Amino acid sequence: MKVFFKINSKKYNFWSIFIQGLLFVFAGVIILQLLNLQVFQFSKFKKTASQNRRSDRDLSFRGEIFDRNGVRLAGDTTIYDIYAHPRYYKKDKGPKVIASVLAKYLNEPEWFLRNKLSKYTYSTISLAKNVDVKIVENKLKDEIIEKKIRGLDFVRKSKRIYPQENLASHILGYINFEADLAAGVERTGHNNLANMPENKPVEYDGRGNVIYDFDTNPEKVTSPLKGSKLMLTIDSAIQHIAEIELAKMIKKTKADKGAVIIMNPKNGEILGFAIQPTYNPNKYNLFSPSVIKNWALSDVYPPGSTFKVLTIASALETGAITKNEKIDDTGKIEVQGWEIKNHDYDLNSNPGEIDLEYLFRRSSNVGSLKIALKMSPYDHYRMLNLFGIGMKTGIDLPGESAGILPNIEKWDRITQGSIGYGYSVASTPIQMASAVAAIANKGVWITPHVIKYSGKNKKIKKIKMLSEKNCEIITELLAESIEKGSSKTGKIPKFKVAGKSGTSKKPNPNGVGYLTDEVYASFIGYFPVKNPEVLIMVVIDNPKSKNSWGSTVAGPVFNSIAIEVGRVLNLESDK
Amino acid sequence: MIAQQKLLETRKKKSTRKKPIVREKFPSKKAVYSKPVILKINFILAIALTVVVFLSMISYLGVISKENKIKNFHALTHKLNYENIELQNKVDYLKSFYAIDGKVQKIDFLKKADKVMEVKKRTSIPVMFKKNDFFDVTSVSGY
Repeated sequence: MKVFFKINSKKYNFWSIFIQGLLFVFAGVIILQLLNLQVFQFSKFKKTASQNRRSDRDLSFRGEIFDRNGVRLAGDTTIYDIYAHPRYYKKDKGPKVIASVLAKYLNEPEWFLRNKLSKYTYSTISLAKNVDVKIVENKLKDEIIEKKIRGLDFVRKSKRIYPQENLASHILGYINFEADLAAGVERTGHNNLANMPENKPVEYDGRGNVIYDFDTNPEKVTSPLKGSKLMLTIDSAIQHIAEIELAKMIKKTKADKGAVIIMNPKNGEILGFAIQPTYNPNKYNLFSPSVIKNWALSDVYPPGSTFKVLTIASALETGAITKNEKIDDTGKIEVQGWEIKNHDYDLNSNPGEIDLEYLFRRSSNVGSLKIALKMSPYDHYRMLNLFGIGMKTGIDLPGESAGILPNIEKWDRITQGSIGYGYSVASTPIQMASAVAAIANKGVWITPHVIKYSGKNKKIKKIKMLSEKNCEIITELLAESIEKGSSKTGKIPKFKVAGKSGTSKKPNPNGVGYLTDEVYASFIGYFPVKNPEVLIMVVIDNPKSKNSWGSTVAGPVFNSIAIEVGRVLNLESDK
Repeated sequence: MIAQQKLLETRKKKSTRKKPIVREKFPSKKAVYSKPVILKINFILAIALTVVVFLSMISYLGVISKENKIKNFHALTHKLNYENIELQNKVDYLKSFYAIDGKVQKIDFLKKADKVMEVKKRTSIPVMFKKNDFFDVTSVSGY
């Protein structure tokens, strides 16, 4: 046999050992490096990896809003923004093909999209915004995959929706994510609604790949993260009734605006808060700010005769009058050169000695003025402060104004006297509602609120301001005045109502004094008299019908709502 | 010069002379090289590595196929979720107070009938059934 290579045994041994040694060293280095990475530097890399992880999904939803019975008032839906990246287009699937597909679903002309898509100098082109999820998921994406089109980007985002549309729109408000603007509880409850749960079921690595947490619930793994839920004190059924009845009267009387507040005087929970004109929060951008704002919180009005309830309560509490007080009602009176008349002066020019029930029933301005002047200005001012007049109630809705209560230093006799029957003072409807609610609640004033709080909350204040006895007296007087009165207002089946109507002239926006032909018609009442559980306040701004009074315009709204509320809440009859 | 030529010739002769052949029986002997220990270790490592690489490839394929399946499921569940959210929104809207109000108004429950059919007053004397004072009933014990 011919030998071609003759191996030198010594040389073979040397090279063999050398190569094997090299391999050994190589393997050893790798093993050592692995040891270093996975054992010695374990904690360091673990920390870095966890920092690289993204716990949020590509999309997260804001918390949902529910009414007190679990009816969903606000939630989120998904929409898409569509972008194009020209450098990723396929050669044979350029702008022409892409435009032909997109045009079918985006309601845009094909030439327009083709022009947009042909801007090769741009890295990203915005094609469409806020496209419906059904169009993208069920139609567009399928066709794009089928036609193997590349260079399109679908960016998913959330959009707030209000399935009940106009219902409680002024309570819910709206949210504009892009401009970071919000109103209503969307603003005051923002921290709660945007608060994402800490336990994230899925995490993503630095490259965006899902790190599975071995959660076997696919819904939990894939559904978007949701913020905390927000429960309101609103009852949708009551809210709807209030909105419908208010809208009917606004339409009937061609009034400018109106508000209805329904609250539980025992705990300050607002069951309904209807505002007219109303708006659809799904399309808030189509409405003017004057419609969107909650005027019952931001705007003030002279409360008129409804304020007499607070005057008499203050006088009783300060000891200026007693339950059986008699006042000489002269029909008209002159104070510091100003003549003040009763509204029915032409019918009854001199009622003579009247009691408190008559004062409420006939809404005597002279009687209220005289009682107001029986109190010392300091006592009167202190009581009004306790009722929360001239200061914010602290309701958990934005945009509340404090109202106007003249500083005590500026009080003269006419100021104090006219405050007695609800002029020279301006309050918001919510201030009036919470003040009268304190009388219904045995003298304890409670911060009105629309968000349901669990347990004790620092935001909800309770102030004892009137004696229980005086509250009972006021309630009895108001109920009696309703029963004896000729008006139908407050007279409802099953329940006795304690209430007071009011008609006040609108202040002149362009100067001093009041407008002669424009009024605020209002009614405030609570029931059942034995155990008040509901307070309803109705204010209608500038009704244009003939004979526009609190009892003829606001009263019927109160009655209609009160009957339905009694039914919805299944209140015990006291008649 | 002659001496040099003679010397060259003798060298040539020496070189062309056949080498002596040793004729004897020698026992054949194989060359034995002692394998280095490291070679054995590397051999074992190489086999282990091949097995591990092979297993890794199989498991990698398995993981990839599973991941693909999971990815598909993930996408499908996503789609279902969003569809579900949409449907829930639609249901909420449909059962909202205003939507129901609108529907009721369209149906118009209080609409008056277009035609009123007049029915003649019944003139025949209604049949009066005689009141049975006595029933022929056999009493049953325990009733």
